[in-house]
Amino acid sequence: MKSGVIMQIKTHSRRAAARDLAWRLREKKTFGLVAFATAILCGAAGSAQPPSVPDLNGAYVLEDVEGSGSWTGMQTRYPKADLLNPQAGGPGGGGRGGGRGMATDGKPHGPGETYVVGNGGCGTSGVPGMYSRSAAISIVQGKDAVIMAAEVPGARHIYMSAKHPDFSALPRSAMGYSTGHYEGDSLVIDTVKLAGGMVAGGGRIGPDTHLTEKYRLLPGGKRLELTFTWSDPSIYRKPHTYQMFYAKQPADSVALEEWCDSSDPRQKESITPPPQQ
Amino acid sequence: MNVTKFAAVILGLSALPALAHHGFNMFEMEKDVTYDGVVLEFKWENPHAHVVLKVPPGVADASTVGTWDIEGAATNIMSHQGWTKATLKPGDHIKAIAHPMKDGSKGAALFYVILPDGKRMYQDIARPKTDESKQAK
Repeated sequence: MKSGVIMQIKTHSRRAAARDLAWRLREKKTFGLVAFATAILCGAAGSAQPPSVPDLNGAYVLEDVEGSGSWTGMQTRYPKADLLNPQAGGPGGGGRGGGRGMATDGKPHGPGETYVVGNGGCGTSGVPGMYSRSAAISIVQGKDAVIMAAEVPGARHIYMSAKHPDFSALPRSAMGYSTGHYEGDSLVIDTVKLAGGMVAGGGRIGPDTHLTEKYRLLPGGKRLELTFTWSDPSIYRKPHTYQMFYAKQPADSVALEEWCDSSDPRQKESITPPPQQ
Repeated sequence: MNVTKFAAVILGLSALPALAHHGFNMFEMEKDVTYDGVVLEFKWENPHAHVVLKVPPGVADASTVGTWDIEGAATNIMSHQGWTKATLKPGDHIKAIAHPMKDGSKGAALFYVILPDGKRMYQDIARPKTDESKQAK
């Protein structure tokens, strides 16, 4: 009996060993096939790299690139828009601040008498107005959205995926509605339904005006080039294009608030001629 | 004023940058005047920083003699140009290059200052067309 048990044990062991060996061989074969397939796939993938996303995160301040010396001077550097219909659309209305009530009462004022020089409005400048101001603009890149927040009222939300609302059902607005994608080293944004705003070079914005922006960090990583292209066959004979340049702020710079309170009388104040000493 | 002229005025105004709360029509923006004097007060505040500057008799430009309110930009804008609340203090002898009021009042819109150590501090992004050292004497 004992020898029979031993025989059974040995037989069992040999079978187990055989099964084990077969399994190991199958594993190696499988591994080999997987390794081979992986190598093939990696080789194929290596010839088609996924598109890179330029890193535009940071804060940027508009530059007076030609030393114009003044806001008025800065406006003169932009090419004049070739307007088919100068009366179409409008230069303003989108940004609820500015453009209104800028004139003073035209009278001289004595010491201690504060001027009222503006309308005290605190609305957003909208698009493109926020890009013509000297407050810094922060760009925050996410996977599905890019946020552009200026240090003034208002921020833009750029949809970077197909998941966005149906813009056709929405009213025109100061910021419009934007989708974006990357092309090489650039972020390209398409915006529709802008309510209005100042367009450099005398451009105008109508209900069907389309804005394309291209953001590109220049070599060296310290300057941002922003290209605006306005298209609207009812307004422009040809697309109206111009560029603006921005200086990237140090990484440790602080995003400061734009204090603005329309209810505060001081919002409208400017010069207070001091008592003469 | 008829409708056409009114529209022209509005369009002319809107050709200027859209600023949230302030216009510059009351200043001679194309004229740079040097105010050479002593800081009486530096108000680091919003909506605008202000420099109260006393220009004593005997300076090169006699029309600048007096005490002036020179307006800067909002503090966030000036911060990006390097300003802090400690940039100026009473007693500092500076040169303020600014755009005077059209009506002759003792007020001006700041372009830049030259600090006691010679450093230039711009209140905003605008820069001069020509060599800065030749403009302010």
